[in-house]
Amino acid sequence: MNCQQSQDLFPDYLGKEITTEQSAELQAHMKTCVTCREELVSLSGIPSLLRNGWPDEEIPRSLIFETPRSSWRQLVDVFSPRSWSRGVVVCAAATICFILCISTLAMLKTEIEFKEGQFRVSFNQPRSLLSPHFEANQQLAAVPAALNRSDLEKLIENELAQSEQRQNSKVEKLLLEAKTEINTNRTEDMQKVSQGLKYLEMTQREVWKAAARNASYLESLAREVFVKTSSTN
Amino acid sequence: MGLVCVSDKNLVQKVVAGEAEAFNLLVKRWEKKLFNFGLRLTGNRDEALDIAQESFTRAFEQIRHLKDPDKFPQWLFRIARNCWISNLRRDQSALTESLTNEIEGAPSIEDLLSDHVAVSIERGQRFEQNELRVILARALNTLPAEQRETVVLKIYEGMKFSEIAEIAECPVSTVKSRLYLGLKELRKLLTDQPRGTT
Repeated sequence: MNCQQSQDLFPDYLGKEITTEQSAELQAHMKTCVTCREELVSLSGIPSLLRNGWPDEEIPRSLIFETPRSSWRQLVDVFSPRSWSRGVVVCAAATICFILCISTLAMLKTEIEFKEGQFRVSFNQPRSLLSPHFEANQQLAAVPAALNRSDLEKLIENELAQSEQRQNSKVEKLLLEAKTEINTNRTEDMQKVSQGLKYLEMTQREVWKAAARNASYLESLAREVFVKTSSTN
Repeated sequence: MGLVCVSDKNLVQKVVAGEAEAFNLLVKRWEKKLFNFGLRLTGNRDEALDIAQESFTRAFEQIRHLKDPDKFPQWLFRIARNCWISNLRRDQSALTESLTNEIEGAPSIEDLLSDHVAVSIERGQRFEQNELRVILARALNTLPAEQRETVVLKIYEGMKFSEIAEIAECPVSTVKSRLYLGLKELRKLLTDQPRGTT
């Protein structure tokens, strides 16, 4: 090995990537070449000086950051269970369980009744015995699912009473209208009668005037006849 | 937390699969190394932190394009190296003096390396750790960029020549040459040879 070949191996030696064979060849050359030996010795201390003189420093602040995400990934992450906190997962699970329970009870037509301090639960009861001709369908829709016979009777009674009340109010309204019409008609009739009486009075007055004129004419005529008769006698 | 013992390769695959949290584990694993890499290249803590931050951001954006997850460290260091080179090109004339300024009244490299104040390898212990760090930072800063990165990757990061060649995108022989030249230049600066002599 000559000096050039030896120096070609310096980087491998300094970088600690020299093979055993290369190392042996280099050592053999070093024994005979002082120049190469001094060169390598002076260089071999530099790496350790660099490492020891400037050890790794602690990072001033951690770089763990909110990873920049594309908009579609953010959208996906929102719906991804991995991004949910434990509390959110528990709340979601509780909500789903609650909805499932309610749905199941609804499907089984469950009726829960609290009466005399006790709960009574029944399944698949007929929902309603009410007649479809009931007028208060909207109210019936709001009636709780749990109804017993007495409640139904009360409800029917209520509805009948309300219906009767509505009929009565209708009759009263009709009577009021009829009364108003009668009063109107009577007023009109009275006016007509008044007008007829006035006309009769006026006519009578004319008759009276004519009679008076006739009487005065007859009187004058009788007086005239009487005068003539007296003169002739 | 079960991911802590997972290899880089698996973490990369998890990130690609959409587990962003796995990337933070990679950050936690590599942030110190990347920061020190940047610090030795620039000699400036803020700049080193920026390089590390930028590198991780770019890495996250491009991780889907990483063909071989086994080579994540080389890939990450190549990103950091490219960030540093971009900064160099952007601000070629910027002086990195923060480390020097940290020590009030610290002697300049010229003083420390003057003919009368010899700095020898054997007598390196004469300096305080901070002073020695300043000396080494300034000495590294005088190296050409390609020699500096090679010395840092080899000496401080302990990478193989082939890995450095991948990062620097050059042949292995070039890497060896750069290391040799860099160490020779550092020897010239750090030993008690009169400055200006070869």
